[in-house]
Amino acid sequence: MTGPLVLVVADRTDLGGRAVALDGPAARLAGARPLVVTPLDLARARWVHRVDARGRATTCLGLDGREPLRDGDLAAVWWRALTPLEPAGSAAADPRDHLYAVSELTALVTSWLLSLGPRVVNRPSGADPSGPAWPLHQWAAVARRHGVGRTLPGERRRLVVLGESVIGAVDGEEREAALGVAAEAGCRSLGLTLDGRGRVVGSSTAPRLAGREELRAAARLLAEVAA
Amino acid sequence: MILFYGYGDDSALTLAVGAAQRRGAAYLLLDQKDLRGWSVEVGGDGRLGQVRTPWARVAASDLRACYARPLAPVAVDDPDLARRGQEVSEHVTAWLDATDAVVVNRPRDMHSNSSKPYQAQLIGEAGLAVPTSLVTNDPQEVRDFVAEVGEAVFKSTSGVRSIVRRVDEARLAALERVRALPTQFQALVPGTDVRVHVVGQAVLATEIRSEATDYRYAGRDGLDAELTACSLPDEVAERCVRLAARLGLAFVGIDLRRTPEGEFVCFEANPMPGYSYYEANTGQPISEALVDHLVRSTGGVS
Repeated sequence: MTGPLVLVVADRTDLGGRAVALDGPAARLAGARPLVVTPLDLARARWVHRVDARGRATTCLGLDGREPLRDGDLAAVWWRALTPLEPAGSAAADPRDHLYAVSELTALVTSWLLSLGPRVVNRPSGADPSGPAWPLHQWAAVARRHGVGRTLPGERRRLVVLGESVIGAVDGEEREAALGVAAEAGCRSLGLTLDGRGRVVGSSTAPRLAGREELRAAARLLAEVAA
Repeated sequence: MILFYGYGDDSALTLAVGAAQRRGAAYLLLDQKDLRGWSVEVGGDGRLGQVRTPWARVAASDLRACYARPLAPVAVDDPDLARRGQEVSEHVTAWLDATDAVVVNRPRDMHSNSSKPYQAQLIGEAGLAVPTSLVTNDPQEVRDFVAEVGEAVFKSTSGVRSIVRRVDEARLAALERVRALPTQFQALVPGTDVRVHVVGQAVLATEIRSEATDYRYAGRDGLDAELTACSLPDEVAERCVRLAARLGLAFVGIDLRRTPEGEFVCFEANPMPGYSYYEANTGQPISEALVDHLVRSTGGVS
């Protein structure tokens, strides 16, 4: 392995996430090389994940056709994938076995990501590699408490947090409130959808990236994490 | 008023309700299995406004503490009752996460044991030792691990309950199967099991003596499990309290093993402990401690 990697786990349909990793300046700014993989790539990988008696975890990940990837090789990891981690062929298995296999792989991946600490964009929960696994009502409650959600008659709008950038905020107050929500959730990447009354009606810890402003902010975020 | 929420015939919930009755604490039991005449009403802001029972209306703001063991809504033939069960589940779960009331435990704080190695890292941060573990889909890594640690067991990596089994000769011969799915292996920790229930700052420990690899399933192997109340060294008890706080859980069941050398190793922390088994076998006042915590945390809700 030569030089650190910026690893982005993204679905094939996540064009924004792939563009940030492969075309953006993020990896170059941090002196790291980008690598984009899908959940299926990880499900097919060779895994060696150890936890010692003091609870310290180390991982060696063998992706097809690559040198084994160790913790020290990674400068940043951004989990953007929305599709579940499914072992190859498990979809054809008994539904309970399939669900078990997904749970097991997810549990492995969340532990791996937790062990990487601040090199991961969003702090994983035990149940979700991309963030805290809060249901919508929880995002709504936390957003309300922080003061996110101005009444703006009209259509739905998006608030996208990418590091210190908040895209879509009405003013500085709402920007600070959105950053507060993200901090409480352990997320540096967060998307909230608000209705005309300012209520949170959608959330994503891997928001779709569209437009130059969001792509630039995402690239800056990756560079900061990798630095 | 204390809200008890879950299945009305759940033994852990039943014991807690009994403790509240003995204490004379005002309470409401919202039984997911019997919602006839019950409903929840939601305010304009989408938040739980009140609980309507067959005999009264209780404002959500009057519910100052809650012991929740939320389970899936019960399947019923009556579509109206089924819909109500779903509504109650959704709104109460949202309330549990968002309310200022004392909640044991909030659903959002229950995710850490969805991954055992994830939780093991948090356990280590709290100062407790954990078993050396390996999660892999490489058979040779398993062989090397077993050679390194001596005896090993295997179990699920996720929170899905599994029976802990030893890695014996037959399992070693069938190791190629791990290629299909990474599997968790752990160094066998010899010693005596100790289950610790932490409720707030209270620590109640139970020693379990059994020949079974997994005492919870001793009966399946034709073996017994003998439970007795015990005490912990202060330092271990403090670390258990620290772990509960680290996980954001006011009530937690922690599985320890005391080795022949007197060291304590922690296997996992259960955020929704089924403590009734331990209370029934030892008479330890776990439910009393739970209700005491609910009452004291709210400045005396009774």
